[in-house]
Amino acid sequence: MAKYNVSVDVGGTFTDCVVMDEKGHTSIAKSLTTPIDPIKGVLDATLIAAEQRSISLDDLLKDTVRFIHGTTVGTNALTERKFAKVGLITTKGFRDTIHIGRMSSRFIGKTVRERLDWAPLVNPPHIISLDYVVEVSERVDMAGNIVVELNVEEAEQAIETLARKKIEGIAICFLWSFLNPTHEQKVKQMVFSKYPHIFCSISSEIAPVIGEYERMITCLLNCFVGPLLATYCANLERALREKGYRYPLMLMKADGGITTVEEVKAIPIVTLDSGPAGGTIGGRRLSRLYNRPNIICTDVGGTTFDVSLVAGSELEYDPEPNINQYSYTLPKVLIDSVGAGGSSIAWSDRGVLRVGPTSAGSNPGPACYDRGGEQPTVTDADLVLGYLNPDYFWGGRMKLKKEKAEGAIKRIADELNMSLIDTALGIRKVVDAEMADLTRRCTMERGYDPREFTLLVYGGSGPVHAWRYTEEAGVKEVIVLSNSSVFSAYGMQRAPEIYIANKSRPLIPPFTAATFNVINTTCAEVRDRIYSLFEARGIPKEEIRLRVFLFARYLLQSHEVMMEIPEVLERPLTEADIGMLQERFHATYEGIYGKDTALVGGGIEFMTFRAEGTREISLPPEPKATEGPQDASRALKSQRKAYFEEYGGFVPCNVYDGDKLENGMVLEGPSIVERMGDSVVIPPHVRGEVDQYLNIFLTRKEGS
Amino acid sequence: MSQVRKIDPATFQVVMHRLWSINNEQGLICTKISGSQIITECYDFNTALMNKNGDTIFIGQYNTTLASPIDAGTKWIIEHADELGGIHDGDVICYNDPWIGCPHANDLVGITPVFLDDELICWLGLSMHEIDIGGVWFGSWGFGFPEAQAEGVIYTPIKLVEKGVFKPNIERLLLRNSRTVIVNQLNLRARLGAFNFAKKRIYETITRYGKDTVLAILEQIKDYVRGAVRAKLRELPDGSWSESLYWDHDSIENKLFEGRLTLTKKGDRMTLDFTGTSPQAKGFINCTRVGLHGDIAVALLPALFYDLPWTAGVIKDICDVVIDEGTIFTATYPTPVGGAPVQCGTLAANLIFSCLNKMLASSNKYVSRASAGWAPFNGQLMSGLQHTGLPLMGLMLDGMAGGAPAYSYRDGVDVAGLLVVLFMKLANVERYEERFPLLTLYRRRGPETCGHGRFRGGVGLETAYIPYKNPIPLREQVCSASHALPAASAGIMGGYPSSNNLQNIARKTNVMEFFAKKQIPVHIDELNWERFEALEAKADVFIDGTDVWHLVVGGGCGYGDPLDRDPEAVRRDVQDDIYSIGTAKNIYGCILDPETLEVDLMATEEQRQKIRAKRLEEGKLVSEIVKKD
Repeated sequence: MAKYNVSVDVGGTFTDCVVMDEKGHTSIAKSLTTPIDPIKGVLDATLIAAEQRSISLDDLLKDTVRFIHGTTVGTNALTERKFAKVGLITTKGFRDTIHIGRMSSRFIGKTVRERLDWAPLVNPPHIISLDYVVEVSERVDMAGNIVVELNVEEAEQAIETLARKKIEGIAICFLWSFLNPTHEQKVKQMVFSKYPHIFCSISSEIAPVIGEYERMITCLLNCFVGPLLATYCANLERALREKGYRYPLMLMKADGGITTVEEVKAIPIVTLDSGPAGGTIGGRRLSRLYNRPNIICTDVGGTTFDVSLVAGSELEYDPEPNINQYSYTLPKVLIDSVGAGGSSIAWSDRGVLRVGPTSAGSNPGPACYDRGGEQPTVTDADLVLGYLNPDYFWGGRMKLKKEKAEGAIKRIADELNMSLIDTALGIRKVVDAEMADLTRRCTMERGYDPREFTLLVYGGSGPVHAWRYTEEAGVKEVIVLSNSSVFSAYGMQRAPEIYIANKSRPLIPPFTAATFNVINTTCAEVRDRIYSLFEARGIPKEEIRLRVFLFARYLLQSHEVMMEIPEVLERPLTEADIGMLQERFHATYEGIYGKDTALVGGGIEFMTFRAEGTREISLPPEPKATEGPQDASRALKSQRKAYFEEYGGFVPCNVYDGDKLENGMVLEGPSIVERMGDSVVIPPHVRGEVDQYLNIFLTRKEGS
Repeated sequence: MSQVRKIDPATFQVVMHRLWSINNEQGLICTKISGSQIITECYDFNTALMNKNGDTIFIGQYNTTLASPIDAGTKWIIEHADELGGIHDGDVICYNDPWIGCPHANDLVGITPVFLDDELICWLGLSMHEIDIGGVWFGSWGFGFPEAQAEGVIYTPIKLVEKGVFKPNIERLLLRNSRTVIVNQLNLRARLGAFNFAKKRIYETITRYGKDTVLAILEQIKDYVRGAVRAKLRELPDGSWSESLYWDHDSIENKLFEGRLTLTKKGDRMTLDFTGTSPQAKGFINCTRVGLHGDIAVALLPALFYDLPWTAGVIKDICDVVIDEGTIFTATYPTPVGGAPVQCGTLAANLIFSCLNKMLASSNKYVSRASAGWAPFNGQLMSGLQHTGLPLMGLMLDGMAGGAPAYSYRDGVDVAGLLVVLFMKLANVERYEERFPLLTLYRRRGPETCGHGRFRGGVGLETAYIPYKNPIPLREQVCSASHALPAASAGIMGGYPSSNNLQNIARKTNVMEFFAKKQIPVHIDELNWERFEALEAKADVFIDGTDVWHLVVGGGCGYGDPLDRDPEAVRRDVQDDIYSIGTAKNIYGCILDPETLEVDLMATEEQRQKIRAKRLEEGKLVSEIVKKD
C-alpha cells in the first residue's frame, strides 16, 4: 500500500499542493485560492495532485499518513479586521497600555524611507475599543511578590461587564504575571466556571516574558483569531476525515515547526504568519541534503522580496515580530522583507531612477500583461531586455505584450533623458541592488559573512535576477530550485515538530547559590513544558532533541543576546559555572558586534530562559535522477537575443527547455532556461550545472 | 542636475542608497551595544556620514540635534590636524566641547576618517549622550550654577584610537570623572563596534563600484539634495513669518526667556533672523551657536527634506542666520549650556518649526504638510540606589511622551514623543520597575493635555508612581519647561498651544491604605496627602516612603480655530475622556447633553457666536500678556 505525505500551502493567489509517496517521488499541483472558503481550495489542489497520480482524492487521502497544512486564515482575519469580539482584563491603572502602544505603533514595521516622511504616519486602527478593556485591582512586584491582592469583586464585575457585551473571548494580562501567574489563573478560572463557552487566554501561559505591552498584544491576538482558527482547523480535519484521512491534521507554525489541531486550539496564534516559514524549513532541509550549513533563502514574489537564513543548519528567530504595526512576542522564524518584486513600479524622482515600493500587483499587473497597467515594472524591463519569452510566460498560458512594456518604459526614459534600453537596464540594476542590500543586511548585520553562504532562490521572479543580486551581495553560489514555484509547500513536508517555551526570570549579580537554584529550576520548568507537549503527542523523550538557551546582557543594557547552555541538561549549574557563562557571553557578543566590543570584566545579567525541543520527521530521501550527458544540446529549445552588460548590448544566447534538463548537464552563460513558472538567466561569466535533484547550481566560471 | 548625469542614474541611486543604509546601520549597531537606556530607548544619539571636507551627507534617524553639529567638530579636527599629530587610517577622535561640535558636554562624539590607500574617502561620526561626565551633580546638569565648569569635564578633540591602536590611557581619562563608568565604557565600545561595521561596508562598496565613483557620488548627493530643496523653496510663496515663544526657569531664576524669529523667504533662500531674543541666561538652559546649527536641522529636515536624504550639509546653502553673540541661542564660553538640547535648543527648533509650517500653510501645494508645534520635553533625572543597592541614574522616558501636533487636515497622534527624536519607544512599566526602585500606580493618555484647534493635537502621557523598595530616598531633578506658561511651542492658524507640563509631589499619602483594601488609586485626587507640591520647571527634590510622584506631559498643539471643529469630533473627544464637557463648551463652543453627550447644534451655533464676539472685545497680543522684567 502506498503511503503519502501531503502538504498544502494557501497563498494569496494560489493554493499549492505537494504529494510525496513512500519512494520519495513527488507530484505538485496548484489551484486558485478560494478566500471565502479556503477548505475548498485545499481540497481542489489535493484533487489535482491525486489526478496526476491517476487516483481519486479519497484513495489518496486514505493512504495519506501525514497531511500538513499552512494556513493564512488568522493573518487574513487580522488584516481584514474580521476577528472575534474580544474583551481584555488588565491591572487597574493600565487600561491605556494598548492605545499608548509604547509610543511607537505609528512607525513599527515601517522602512527607513517610510519613516523619513513622518507626516503621514499615524497609529494603526485600534485593535480593541476602550469599552472592551476593563481594569481589576491587583498588583505583583518585580520580584513576583503580591503587593495588592486580587480584588475578586472587581474581577467578577469585569467579567460580567464583558459578558453583557456578548464577547466571544477574554484576554487577561496583568503586570508581572510571568513571575507570578496566580491572579491571571484565578480570573481565568472564574471566567471558565461561569462562561465555559468563552475562549479565554492568559498572558502567563501564552507568552511568559517581560514587557506588558507585547505580552498583552500576544494574548489579545490569540483571542482574536483563536475561535476562528480552532473552527477552521476542526472543519478541515473533519472534511479530510470524511474523505478517508485517518491521522491527525498537522499545522504549520510561525516558529518553523508543525503541530496538531489540539495545540492550535489552545494557542492558535502559533500559526499566525506561518506560510513563509515553509520556504525557510525547505532551506534547512537542503542545507542538510547538500551539506551546506549556511543558506540564504530568498523568495521573489510580485510585490515583495523575502529573505531568511539558515545558519549552521539552524533557524533564526525574530526578536520583535509585528503584525499590522502591533508588536508581539512569540518564537517566529525571522523573515525580512523589502517592497521589491516583479510588479514593482519604476519612476523618475527628480531625475533619479527609483523602483518600488509601489507595486502594480497582479491586477492590473505589469504593462506587458495588457490588463490596463500603464506604469513600467521590473517584469516589463525583464521582457524588454530579452530575459522573458512573451509567448512562454507561465508555460504559454499567458501572452506578454512587448510593445506595451516598451511604451511604459519609454515614458520614464524620456524624463530621465536616457535610452529605452539603458532605462530597462537601470530598472534591473536598481531592483537587483535593493535585493542585494537586504540580503547583505540580513547576513552582515547579524555578524555573518555572506561569502560563507549558499543562496537559494524561489518565487516567480527570482530566477531571472538571482545571479545578479547574489553576486552584488557577495555570495558565491546559487541554487535555483526545480520546484521553486511550490517550495513553501515542499518545505512544510520537511518541517520537524518543534516546541519552544520561554520564561523570563530577571537575575542580576551577585550570582549566589540561590541564583543558581533559580536558574536550574527555571531551566527545568521550560524543559518540562517541552517534554509534556511531546508526551501529549505520545512521543518518547529519546526522539526529542532538546536545547536550552539563555538570553543575557551586560548590566544596564536593554538588548539581550542568546547563548546556548547545554550543560544545564547534564547537571545542575553551580556558582563555579559563572566564569564559563561569562566567557561564553563575551565570545557570543563579540561574534555579533565585532572585536573590542565585549566589556570583559563588566557584569552581566540574565533575562529569559528558552527550551527548544525538536523531533525530526523521517521521510524517504529525495529521488535522484540518473546521470545524463554533460552536453545540454538535448535540452536546447531555441536561440534568442538578450541584453548582457558584459557585452554592452544584445547577444544571441541559448534557450533551454526546463523540462528537458538532465542530471549533469552544463549550461554555459549567456543562456536562459525557460521553465513552467519562471525563466533562469545565466549571465556570460556564469556556469549552470544541473544536479541529481535537477536543481541548477550557478557559479562564476573559472578565471572570469 | 547636469552633474548627476555623469554617473548613470541607476548607479547613483544604488550607491546613494547603500551609503545611506550604512549610516543608519551604524546607529542600529550602536543601540545594541550600548547599555544606556538614554541610547537604547530614548535614542539620544545620532550618526553622520560626511564627505572628505566634513560636510554632512547623511544623518541617522535618531536625535537630530546631535547629528548636525558633528560636521562642525569634523571641520575643527581637519583644521587642527597638526596639533593632533595628523589624521591617519584607524584613528578615532573623541570630544565633547559644545563650542566645537556638540549641543552640550554630555554628548561625547567619536569621529573616524575612512581611508583607502592613503586617500581620505569620507568621515564617520557618532554622537552619544552620556548620562554623566562629571561636574557638581550626578547627570552633569549644572543645576543652580552659572558656569560651564560645573557641568562636567569638557574634552577638546583627543585620539582614543590611533592608527588602529586602542589607547587605554585615553579611555581612563575619558572615564575618570564620570559617575557612570560602566555605561560610558560600553558606549565607547558601541562607537568602535559601529565604526568597524560601517567601514567594512564602505570598503565593500568601493570594491564593487570603484573609489572614483563613490567619491563622485558623495559630492553629487549634495548637488541632488540641494537642487531638490531649492526647487521646493521656489514653489513656496515668498514672504515673512514670525513667532515669539517663551521658556521658563534657568535653574537660578524662575523667569521667562523669550525666543523670537522672523523667517524671510525669497526665491530659493531663507533668512532666519533671531533679533529680539533674550540675552544668555545665568543657568544651564542656553545653547551655543554650534548647537543652534543642530536645532535648525531639527526643524528644517522634517519640514522640507521628508522625501530626500537628510543631507544636513546643504542647509548652509539655503539658509542664512542672523543673530547676535551672547543670547540664549548663542551663549559664549563659559556660560552653562548643559540643558541645551532639551531647553533653549528646543525653543529655537520650535520657533523655526512654527515659521516653516506657516510658510507651508501658505501654499496650496504644501498645506497638507503643515502642522502645529510639538510639546516640549518634561524631563526628570532620577538618581539613588536600585533595590539591589547598585547605584542608579536614569532619565525617565515618560517625560518625553508628549502628543504629536495637529495637521491642516487631521488630529495629532496621541502619546508620540518629541520633535527632536521622532522614533522613540516608551519603555514598558515592567522594564522600569525591574531597574528603578518604583511602583507605577497608573499610566494613561492624559486628559485635558491636547492643544485645541479645528484639528487637535495628540494627548500627552500622565503617570504616577511611588518609591518602592528604595534603599535611600530617590533624588529627582526636574528639567522641564512650560510649567509657568504653555508658550514654549505654538498652535498655528488659530490653534491653541498644548497644556502645561506638570510634575507634582503628593507628600505622605494614604496609598498603602488603598493597597490594604485591595484597591489601586488611579487618579491623584483620590489620595489624601500631607502636602502637595506643584514643582517649578526646574527643581531638585527627594521622594521617599508614601510620596506619590505625578507627571503630566503636554500634548501636541492645535491647528485652526477650535470653533471650527466638527461638533461630532468634539463629542467623540468628550466620550474618550480627551477633555471635559466644560472644555467642549468654553473652548470649542460646543454644547453637549451631559447625560447622552448628544450635540445641541442650535445652542452650539449660539455659543460659538458669543465666543467670537467676546474675542473681538478682549483680544490682546501675546507680548501684551507676557510681562517682561
